[in-house]
Amino acid sequence: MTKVLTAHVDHPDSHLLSHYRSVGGYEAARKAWTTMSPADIIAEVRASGLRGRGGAGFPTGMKWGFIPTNSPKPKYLVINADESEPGTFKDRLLIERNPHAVLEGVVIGARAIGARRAYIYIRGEFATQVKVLEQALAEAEAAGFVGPDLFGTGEGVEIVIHRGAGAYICGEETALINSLEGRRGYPRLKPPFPATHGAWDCPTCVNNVETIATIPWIISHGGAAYGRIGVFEPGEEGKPPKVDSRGTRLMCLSGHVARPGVYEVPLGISFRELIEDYGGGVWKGRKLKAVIPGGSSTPILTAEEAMGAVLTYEDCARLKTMFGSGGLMVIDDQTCMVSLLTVLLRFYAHESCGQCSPCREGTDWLFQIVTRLRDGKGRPEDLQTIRDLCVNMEGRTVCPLAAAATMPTISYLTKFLPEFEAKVSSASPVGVH
Amino acid sequence: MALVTINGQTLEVPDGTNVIQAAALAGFDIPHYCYHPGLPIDGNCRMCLVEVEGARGPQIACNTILKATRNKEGVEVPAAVVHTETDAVRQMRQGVMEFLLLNHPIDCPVCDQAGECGLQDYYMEHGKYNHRSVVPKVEKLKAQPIGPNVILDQERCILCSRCVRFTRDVTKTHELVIAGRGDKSRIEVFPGTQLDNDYATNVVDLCPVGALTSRDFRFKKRVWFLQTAETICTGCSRGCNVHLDHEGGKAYRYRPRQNESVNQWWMCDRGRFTYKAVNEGRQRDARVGSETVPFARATQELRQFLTSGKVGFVVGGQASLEDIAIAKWLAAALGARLWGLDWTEPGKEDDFLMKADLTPNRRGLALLGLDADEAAFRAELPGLSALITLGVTLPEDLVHPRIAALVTHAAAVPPGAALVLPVAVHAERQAAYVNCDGIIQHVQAAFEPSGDALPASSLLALQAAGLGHPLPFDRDGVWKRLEAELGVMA
Amino acid sequence: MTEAATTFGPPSAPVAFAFNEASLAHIRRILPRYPQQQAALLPVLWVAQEQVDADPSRPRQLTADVIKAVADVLGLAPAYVWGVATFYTMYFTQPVGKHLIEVCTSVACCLVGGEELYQRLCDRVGVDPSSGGTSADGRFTVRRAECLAACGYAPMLQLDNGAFHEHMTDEKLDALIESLQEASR
Repeated sequence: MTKVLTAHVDHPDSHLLSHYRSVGGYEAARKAWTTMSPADIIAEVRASGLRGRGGAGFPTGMKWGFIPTNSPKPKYLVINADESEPGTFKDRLLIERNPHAVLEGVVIGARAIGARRAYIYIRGEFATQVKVLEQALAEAEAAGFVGPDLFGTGEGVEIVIHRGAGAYICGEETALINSLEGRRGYPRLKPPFPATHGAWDCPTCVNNVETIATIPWIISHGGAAYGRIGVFEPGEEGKPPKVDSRGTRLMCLSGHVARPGVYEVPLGISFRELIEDYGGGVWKGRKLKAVIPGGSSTPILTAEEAMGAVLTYEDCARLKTMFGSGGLMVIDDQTCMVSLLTVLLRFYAHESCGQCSPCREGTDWLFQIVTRLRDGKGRPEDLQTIRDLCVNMEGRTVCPLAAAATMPTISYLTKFLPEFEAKVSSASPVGVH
Repeated sequence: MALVTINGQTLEVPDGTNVIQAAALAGFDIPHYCYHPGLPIDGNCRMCLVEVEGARGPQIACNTILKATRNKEGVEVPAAVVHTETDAVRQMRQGVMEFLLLNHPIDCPVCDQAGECGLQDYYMEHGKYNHRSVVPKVEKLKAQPIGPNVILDQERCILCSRCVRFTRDVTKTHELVIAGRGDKSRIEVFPGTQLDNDYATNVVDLCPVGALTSRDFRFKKRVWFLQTAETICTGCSRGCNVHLDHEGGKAYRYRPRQNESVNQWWMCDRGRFTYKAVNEGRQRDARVGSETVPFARATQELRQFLTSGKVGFVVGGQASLEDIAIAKWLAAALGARLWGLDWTEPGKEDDFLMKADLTPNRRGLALLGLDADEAAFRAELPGLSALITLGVTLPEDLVHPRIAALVTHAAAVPPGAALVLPVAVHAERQAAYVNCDGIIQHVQAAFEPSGDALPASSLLALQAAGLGHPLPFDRDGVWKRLEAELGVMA
Repeated sequence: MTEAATTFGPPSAPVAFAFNEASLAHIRRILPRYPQQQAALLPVLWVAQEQVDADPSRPRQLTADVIKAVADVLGLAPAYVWGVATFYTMYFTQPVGKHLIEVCTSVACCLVGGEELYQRLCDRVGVDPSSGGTSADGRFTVRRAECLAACGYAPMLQLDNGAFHEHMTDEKLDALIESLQEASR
């Protein structure tokens, strides 16, 4: 099976330039800078079918194509390494074990969009990972793979590592840009969009770590080779493809799974294969109750739904959930879903930036109601209030954080309704069991 | 120009108009808190959500900016087709109101904003009337002075950020900030600093709720007892347009009134508190020498002065355009000398609204062509049989045994004045003033002058009539003649 | 009317903060990385916090004088800096004990004992778990953390904004607390 991102991560020196060079590192960057035009690079990435791995799944080549080529302003490539979606820890692995792939991807991506400076916005809690990345950057600069003159072209790219300071919302790209500019991490009103008015009002492209780290492989092996991994079914004449889930993804397995960890898998394998073959099945020999497919913001799947699903954007959409950031959490049959939802909602209440009134007030209100249910102090009308609040929050704010709280909430309530109804009058433990 | 369709009605608006403004033109009020035409759009309150055909989900009207749009055939089509009065929109507004009130203390009985509060007003129309929150409210600081003129109640705040944007983008003084995150967010000032700039109290006007209140005005009067007159601030030559809120012949406060070409939406604190001069330090009684006399006796005295021979008038920058006009016509009828002079000490000037010239109508003196030759005035003063002063405070070195002073305030009475007549201030009359940019501004009377006082123009017109020189007594008459004689248009 | 204005935000430290030479050199390296000086705010707050942290004579907090120094070096208003600093959880806008221990109690950790780890830690050092806080002896500040991207190695905690301690067990927690108590004795 082809490993695009993690082929070498088990090597003890995988984070060092020497090792990265020994497996062909920075040759894709050389190829991109010396033999390809920016349009060639974008065409190759379009051909690969790569979709953004941060959560939204937007085609990367198309996103790069939005950056205006005729703008006199500087252009910026910004890498979103603010990995904070509960259940997700893949970008961390790449930064720790394959940092040069990230840097090489930046070097190529910068050429594609005409950026002469790139920022890697890394979450503040990644103190250790910042050091690894800084060391890798220093190595790459010393070796001439990052800097003002790349491969004798007289042009190049400067990479700046920018450390955040603790705010989930900065994973939203316009909040990230505000934070990069030294502001509170409030998401921005759109329009205007970052592609034309991003960092410092200049054209800006924000890419996820996994996305950008995939780029060197695509340039080395060709977009078509990447596109042969995973699943692709063309649509009828003039229609979009029926299935467009190409390449590999880093899936983060956690929760009640025997072998948690990050697994690089080709898209299109089944949830069953991922959980049982890769993850070793549900821990302690217990039964599967539910699966959170792509980070805590994605609607939950029942065991039955999950076990009948495959890892594609389309199958997730069929089940009215999302692939999200690849943070798959396994939930066993001894878990109280009311307590679990309390934990989930505490997160969103804590992380709401507080800008929009529905999210600022609604996330904490939801948390308090569900906490009340958990503690057996629920009121008969609480379940309806939860539903109403979700309606009043979702789609009525600047950014999707409110929806990230309401979509899973509604899915828990719908799929595990009897548990919630039972809690209107009886307490659950403070933990999740 | 752009086309827009609001609730089925298509209208043309200038490019760059937003849907709140466009809807207002079409006669529909879209409720909003954070949006203010004088501040950058922030879009945080979500109260102005509307339905826009073809858009993904509800849109905030404040950030839906209209610009000319053409279809494929090149035909101009509406930039947006908007619905503001549907059940869905009403439901959204109810939802937002519920969130805004979740952590609001609902302390309306002890809140000074009551009666002019955006939460109260919109709740009437958009409330759920079904209180269902039993969660404890987030506690924050209440009634904290944050500067000489403003009190902050963090709990009442809906975090619309108008005040923060005002200090960031208008005054650029950056005293106010939102600290914290989520529902713990609150407005703060930094330790060791205060909200103490020349325009600080504008944040009280901007605040749509009871979070920022005026230290000067709070608890002086319930606002529903107040009446409002449209007038101007007479604190300097800018002439900022204001609402004068008053009751029982007493002025309670100024609030800036929008005028794009004078003061936009703002006024300075120096001017704002000059409303107090309507109430305080007024000259209430008529005097002959130091003796209080009946008003009728004083007017008889004035007639003596006016007929004493070589009479002079000096009119200052406090006098209204009508006062100046009547003085001018009367002086001409009497063959008297007339000067337009003012000795008011200059005050602070900035590059925003504050002007160094602290008189409201110095430009009016020039407009009506009054003689501004101070040297001539000083030279001729000793030879005058009587000096009539109006809207001016004479410097101390200028003395004359027979000065008749028409004054609004006791402090303007020249030492040793032989005759003092109280006259109305701008709040007590219809009048016009010419501001620093030459703009003629008319003011409404808030209330009648107290006692026997009259507008100076009326007082002098009565005198003129008694002397056989009929002059217009009221504002309309004055302006008819001004327009005819001088080409000065209202 | 002349009542003094309320004091908000952090107090000032007894000795006013000033950037040392090493910090200033660091800031000089940071500034050219951005087209506008304000963008250096988060990095410069980090520099300030690291200098504060390295100086045992200072309270472990971004006191008003520290915020002011950051504002001055970047030409920003102190209130603005305070507003930004309080948005992020990692800056010490509140006083912090000798050791800051943050236990992840987000979804993945809670599934495998994160809540129990947090409760045990609070018990061990004497902090009210409902709110978190600092132990009476000022040695430990305990807080819940939201997801720290260690879900596969849960339960976990972060020590002093730095190292992750993963796959935590009761025994490992006890050993960690003991070693920290030992070190600060």
